[in-house]
Amino acid sequence: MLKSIRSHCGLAILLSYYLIFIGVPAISLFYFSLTDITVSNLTNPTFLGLTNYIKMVSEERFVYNLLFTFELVAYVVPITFLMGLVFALFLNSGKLFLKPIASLLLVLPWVTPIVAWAMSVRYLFAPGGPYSILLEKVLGFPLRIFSDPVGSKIFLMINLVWISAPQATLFTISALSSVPRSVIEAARLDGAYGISLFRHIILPLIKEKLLIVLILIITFTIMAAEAILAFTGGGPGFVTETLAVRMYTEGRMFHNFGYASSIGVFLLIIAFILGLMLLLLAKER
Amino acid sequence: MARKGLLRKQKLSRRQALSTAGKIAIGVIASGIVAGVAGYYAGGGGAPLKTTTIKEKETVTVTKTVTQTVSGPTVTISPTTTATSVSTTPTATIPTKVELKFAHFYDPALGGPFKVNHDYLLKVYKGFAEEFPNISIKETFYPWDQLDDKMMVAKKVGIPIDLCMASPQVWLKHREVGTFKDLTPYLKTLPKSLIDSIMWNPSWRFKATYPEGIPMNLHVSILVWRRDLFEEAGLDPDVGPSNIDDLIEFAKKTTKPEKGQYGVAMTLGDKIQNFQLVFVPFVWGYGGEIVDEEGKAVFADSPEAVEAVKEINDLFNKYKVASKEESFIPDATEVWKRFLEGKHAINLSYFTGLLAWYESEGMWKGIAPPTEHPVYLKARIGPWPLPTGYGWGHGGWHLCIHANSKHPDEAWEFIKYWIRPEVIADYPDMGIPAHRDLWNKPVYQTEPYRIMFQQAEKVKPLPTSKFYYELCEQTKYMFYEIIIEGKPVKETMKKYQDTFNRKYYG
Repeated sequence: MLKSIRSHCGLAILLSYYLIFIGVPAISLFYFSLTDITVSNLTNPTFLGLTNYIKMVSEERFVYNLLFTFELVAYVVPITFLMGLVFALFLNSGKLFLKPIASLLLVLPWVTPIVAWAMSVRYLFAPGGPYSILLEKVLGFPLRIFSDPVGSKIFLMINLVWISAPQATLFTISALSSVPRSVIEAARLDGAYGISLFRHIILPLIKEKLLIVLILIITFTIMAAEAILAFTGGGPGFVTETLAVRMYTEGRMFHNFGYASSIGVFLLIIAFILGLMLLLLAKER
Repeated sequence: MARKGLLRKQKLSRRQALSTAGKIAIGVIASGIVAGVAGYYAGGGGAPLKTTTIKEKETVTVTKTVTQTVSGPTVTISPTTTATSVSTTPTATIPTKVELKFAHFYDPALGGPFKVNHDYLLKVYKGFAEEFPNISIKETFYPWDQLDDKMMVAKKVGIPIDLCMASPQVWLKHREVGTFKDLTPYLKTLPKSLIDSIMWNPSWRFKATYPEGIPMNLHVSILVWRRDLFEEAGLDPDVGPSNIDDLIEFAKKTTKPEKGQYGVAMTLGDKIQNFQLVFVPFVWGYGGEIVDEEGKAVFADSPEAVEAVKEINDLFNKYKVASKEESFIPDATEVWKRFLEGKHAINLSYFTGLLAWYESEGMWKGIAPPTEHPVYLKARIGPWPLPTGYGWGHGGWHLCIHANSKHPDEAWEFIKYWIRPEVIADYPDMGIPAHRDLWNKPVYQTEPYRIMFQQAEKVKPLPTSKFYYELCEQTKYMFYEIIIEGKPVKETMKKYQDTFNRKYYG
């Protein structure tokens, strides 16, 4: 009886949290997306219906933003996920020399303010910057991050991976540490080592937790507006502009809150679909 | 036994239910993060960065008589002005201590020009506090490119601000929002000579910002070149390009890609300065048009504007005297810094607001602040070398009383104090004095200021549009497609003109 009351209380708290901090803002966002709300009519916006959505999907730039968002997810998420997994396995092995230092170094990108970091990285890769000169000597050509579309994309992706890999590592370490030692020892007694131990024993046990890691990396990549603005400013042109950056520009720079909200709703739907797909996939397996 | 089995079944299903609930919760949280961030970005303004309070300890009730005596050859503001005559309501008797909230962007923590200007402001506050001990100033710093937005949002959400600085370019939007108080009743109390002196300023001359903001400075586009790089290339370091052919020739001679050195550089990657410091002065320099009276883009229909953009493109792709990588850096400040590092011989995105900074970096001496004996060291300034000679210009930053101000009379006292010719004369961000009468002072009778004044005579205020920043963004993408992707000039200009007009003007 007491357990049931506790469970219901927990559920009530979760639902209240969802309603207040997620549900209401999401409904407001949807409502704003149907209006022409801007800074001059904050209190009395005009209802436009689906005009913002029609404008949005008919825009060439929006289509580009959407494609680049997917491109970023397609490259950044698997690399980050794999890096997180590899780092976590190393750090979890228990025999790593300099483990504390390695852990600290790994967490460093996560705790460094992105804008400050971006400024220094941009300096290093800028024309005449130390890395730029070094790369030119090693590769024979410079990595042009401000004027070359491919260069700027590579530069951005490297940095996004670098920023999100520590989070992936930490979550993966926590997943690995949940595997009972007795299970691993029993598997070893049965002759399972290395890749086979990981593949047949550990992976099935942490599969669901890894799914959470994957969802978090996808969310981070889709919503990485601050990092993109700091590293490339969405440029050159709008080559590295994702939907989140576009939403930021429309909402915070131009005050087209209605239009920005319609992009926000679209992003919400994408994130929801991706999350649902992953959950369904896990359930099937 | 059967009951036990049922219980186990129930337990199992509860576990399953919890697992499913957990998965849903993860999905919900992930979506929630997206919704929260989306709401944040799409929604209102964030908190100000930092605040500092400069306060006087004394709290007294005073009846103040303000006496303004102006030194200088031609300016004389009425010898005695009582504070009661300045505003519609008496302000001379201020019964209680008043704190004015002043929003600006001179954050000393940012160093460089910001600190130099903040040091000057501290002196202004000190002088003001001596005359008005019961009015204190509380500063709030915002990034310069967010200040206007924050002021508009503050108006709408009721954040109390008394004084603020604002940009004339976005005035149409400010008017729509009603960000500032109408200064007409206050302006009526100012001496005509002072009004005439300020009225010359392009922003007021074209009635762009009158009567809500007082122009505090005058920024115009000028040319700046490295004397040392000219000398190295066998050019006379004191003779700059006087027309576009000279510009190309000088740029070719000073371009040395193997050393990472280029003849010219522009701020084409910056979301605002690509427009203000490159597109506008080039188009006007060729006699073209940018927007019509409504604010709609017309640049693609102007043959001169198309010619100007072709010329910019040629500097990169035909004459190869500019580096795409250097000029498409997203932050204008970094392009200006590269000039200081000696990587560009001629800076085609320079304006008078940067004089003090370049002086502090050893480019010249005695220009900002002005002295009677300026000396050019590593760099030199010259007039804008395009056919019509027109560059851009505007009243720089304007000082305004925010619509939410609870102490407009006291705020006006501060404005009146700051615009006194002897107080504003030392304003480092001034570029060229906002008051034309100050131009007669001996420190301005020098060669650099003669060039700048001649340039100032030819300026037009920056184009005003309700969608100013949106227009700036369009030209940034336009330049990218033309210069980097190699798309045809006229068609690309037309594409971006139509995109802008369709989106913002139906």
